[in-house]
Amino acid sequence: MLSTSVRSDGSSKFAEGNKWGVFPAVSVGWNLTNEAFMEGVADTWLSSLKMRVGWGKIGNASIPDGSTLSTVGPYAGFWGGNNYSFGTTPQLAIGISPLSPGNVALTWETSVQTNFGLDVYLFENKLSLTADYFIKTTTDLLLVEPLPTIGGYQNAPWSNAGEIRNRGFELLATYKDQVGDFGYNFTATFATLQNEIISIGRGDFISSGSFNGLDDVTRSQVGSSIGQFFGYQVEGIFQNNEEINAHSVDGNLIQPLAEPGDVRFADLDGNGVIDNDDKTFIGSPIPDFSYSLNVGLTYKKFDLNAFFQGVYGNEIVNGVKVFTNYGDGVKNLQDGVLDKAWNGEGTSNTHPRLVANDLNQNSRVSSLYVEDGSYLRLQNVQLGYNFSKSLIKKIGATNLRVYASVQNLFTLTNYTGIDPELASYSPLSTGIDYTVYPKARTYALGVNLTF
Amino acid sequence: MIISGACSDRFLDEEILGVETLDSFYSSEENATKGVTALYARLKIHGNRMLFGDIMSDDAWKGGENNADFQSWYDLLIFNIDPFNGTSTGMWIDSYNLIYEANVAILRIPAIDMNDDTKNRLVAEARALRAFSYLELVRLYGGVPLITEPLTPDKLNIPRNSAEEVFAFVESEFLAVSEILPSVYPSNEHGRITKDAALGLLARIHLFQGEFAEVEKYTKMIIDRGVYGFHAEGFNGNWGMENYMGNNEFIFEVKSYGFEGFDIQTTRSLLAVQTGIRGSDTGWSFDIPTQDLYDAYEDGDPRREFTIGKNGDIYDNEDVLVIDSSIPAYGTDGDPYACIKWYETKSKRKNPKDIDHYMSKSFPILRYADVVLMYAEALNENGNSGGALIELNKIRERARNSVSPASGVPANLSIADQGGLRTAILNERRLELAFEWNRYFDLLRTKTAGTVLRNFASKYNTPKGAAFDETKHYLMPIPGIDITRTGGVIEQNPGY
Repeated sequence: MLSTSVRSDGSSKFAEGNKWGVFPAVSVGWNLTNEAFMEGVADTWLSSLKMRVGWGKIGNASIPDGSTLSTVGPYAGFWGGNNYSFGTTPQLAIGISPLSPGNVALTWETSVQTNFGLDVYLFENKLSLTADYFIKTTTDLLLVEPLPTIGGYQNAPWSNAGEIRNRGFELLATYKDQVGDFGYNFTATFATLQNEIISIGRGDFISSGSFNGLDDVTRSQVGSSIGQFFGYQVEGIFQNNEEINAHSVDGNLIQPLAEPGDVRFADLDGNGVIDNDDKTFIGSPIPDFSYSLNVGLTYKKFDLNAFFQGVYGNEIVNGVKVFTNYGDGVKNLQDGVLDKAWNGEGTSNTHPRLVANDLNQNSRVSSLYVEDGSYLRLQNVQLGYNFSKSLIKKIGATNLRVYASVQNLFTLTNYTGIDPELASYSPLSTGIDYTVYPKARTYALGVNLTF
Repeated sequence: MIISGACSDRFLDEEILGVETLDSFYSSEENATKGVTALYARLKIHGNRMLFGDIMSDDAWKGGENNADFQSWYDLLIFNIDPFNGTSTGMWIDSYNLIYEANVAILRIPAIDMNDDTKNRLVAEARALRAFSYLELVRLYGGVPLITEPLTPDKLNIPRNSAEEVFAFVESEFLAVSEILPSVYPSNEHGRITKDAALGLLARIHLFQGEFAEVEKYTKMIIDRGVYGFHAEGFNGNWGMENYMGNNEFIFEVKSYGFEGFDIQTTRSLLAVQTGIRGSDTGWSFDIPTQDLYDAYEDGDPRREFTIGKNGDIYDNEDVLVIDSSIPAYGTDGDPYACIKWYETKSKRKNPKDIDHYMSKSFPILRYADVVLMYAEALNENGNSGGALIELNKIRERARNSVSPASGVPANLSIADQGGLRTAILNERRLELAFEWNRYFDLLRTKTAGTVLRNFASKYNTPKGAAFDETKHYLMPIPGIDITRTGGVIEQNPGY
């Protein structure tokens, strides 16, 4: 079988001449089990076998309204904002500045995806497997590109500035059956993703992910995957002055401001100074694979449903630590930090000393922040009971079900932060914990009543 | 097969509410004024200016909570400077923000249908503020990209112009606007840049280059025009709580004022709270006067008590200053003093409930005493030591007469040789203009920064200034982010 479609989408977010995009798609499927040579195999253990190839193009225009426009407005900076006062008796004078130069050339981000799929139904459709391999190339990536600051803009504009390729497998398996009073169905998914940047911005890379105290946490570089964490490599903690002295090049200390208990950073280019050239890739937010399992069980009038979801192999930058694990400033420290921190030779090789005057900049972006972000979470579990029709007819109802459910019953993870499931604000900076509100565990009791 | 259609083309032209565009904005005199007001507002960004002007010099310690408070400032003053230093980067970014906004105003205001005199004046003001930004950039970084019109994002791979080209631009701009700007504004427009301010800044940029013929010419012009002079109430009159009312000594000032009920973020300067006293008051204890500066004044010089406050001093016959030397800024990390030129009497502070209270005093970017000192220095360098001595003594006489009865100190000097006068004038600038963001630039332009700062470091046993390296530290590094983002089209300064 063959199916095709073409769509033409227009968006008011783009300027004249760039509003429209054309998005065709075509897919071909081949039901092998319908073929003559499969006769005999079908209707036994193999109910259906289908191969698919698809190709399609879709568009993305999710940018804020007005991104093409050159905007003006007030701004409030730390050192003072737009307004002023003139006059020997001061009068308030309102000031307005250009904010963003806009970009009239903005247009659709388009993704072209090719996928190869296989659908298998086995054992009288009790077990079904769907497997897909996809290659998706996204061009005209919509992003806010960091520009040379000589441009002088308060806000950099959006632009179509990149091309990335995603590849991966997606597997879906379902199994359902009914044995006497027992019914069960399972649905499992499994997906892998490989991402590669083909071009980005006007140069080789874009840095992103800066926030309070930590600069440029990620670097998205051509040839690597998007949003990789970028920072200093930590070799350990200086235990004593001999170690500080040993960390030198040609007799000069690499870290002259360090004291025992401070972090030892790797001088990767060997030039005797810890500087920007010693930063390197220290982790990635992209998981090796993600998975889920939905379990549904029924027994007579009871039903039980559980949904598990998880990722594996991704890393998280625990940015909260910049506030909770260092002694500078007036901050609330995390419980237990006082015990974990270095406080004498040999007491820790992973957590620097708590110090008010952090001249060695122990808190800079480094591998100390990168943690394993893998997790498995029981997102939802629900137990229900359906009352028999005869019972409820008395009250004029056709259906009555009561249930108890728990959301977020448990999470298995090694991540030390509040929640390994993080929202992302931009593909350039995902997997960064800027401090999240803890996910609640919700217990609910409910009734479904139908009349 | 299914076919479906969409709507007319006009349907996709959405009017976007709540967003004003550049095209619609620069269409009226009122908006043109707002656009230029925003340029003045950027003068309130005092942090980097205070750091470079005062704290990098022998006049002031950084202060703050400890050495790591504003760590990028600490790295700068111990001359551990790399191209990603947040403050040298921030100064560059702030300057180019002003330049871009000025370029937009200069481009778009001429097309507005409005009163021609106002139009020409507003454009001249924007040009003057743009020139001021380039003045600040070239003194710190040397040659920089000279951008004179608003550029689109695709046109930003611009190489640096030479320092000579930037100096020449600043000079020609200040000269040109000095022909357009008025001598005096109506009292409700007080604070806008005047003809003499442009001439004074023109003298300043020539001073930085050591071009003393021009310095003499333009400072003499200001003095002869007689619009400005010494403050009627003496040296200390400059720092009164109501100095925003206008006085004849401030030639160009930054007006920061606290308006009741108005959003604090948009109107105020933090200068007073940042230099304010920590502990007994709500200040952050930055810009701490050094013992070196304190000792530079002769005992009895009235200017010292109006510049440097110490524990137990009484300000404005009301506030007793309490400076606690157990606080690191006043003890182990500095000296037990506070800069009090920006201090505000507690009972007279606007919005005293706010911890980060407004500064409601004007700060002078250029004042008459600076012009007289520049004139003296130029006369001396041009061979007229007699004339230079006369001007120098005018400053000292004014200082003596700032208290009643007049002080005997500082007495008139009688130095006759050029070398001696040179040293005396440089020293007088230090005493007269302390904390007005000049000292570090005076050390740089006279090529004495290395000697002075290293001597300071060894005398006071401090890393501050110890590592000043003449082969590179006369210039700040160009921000690494722009070198990266232009793909190396912008080149770094030597040594970084």
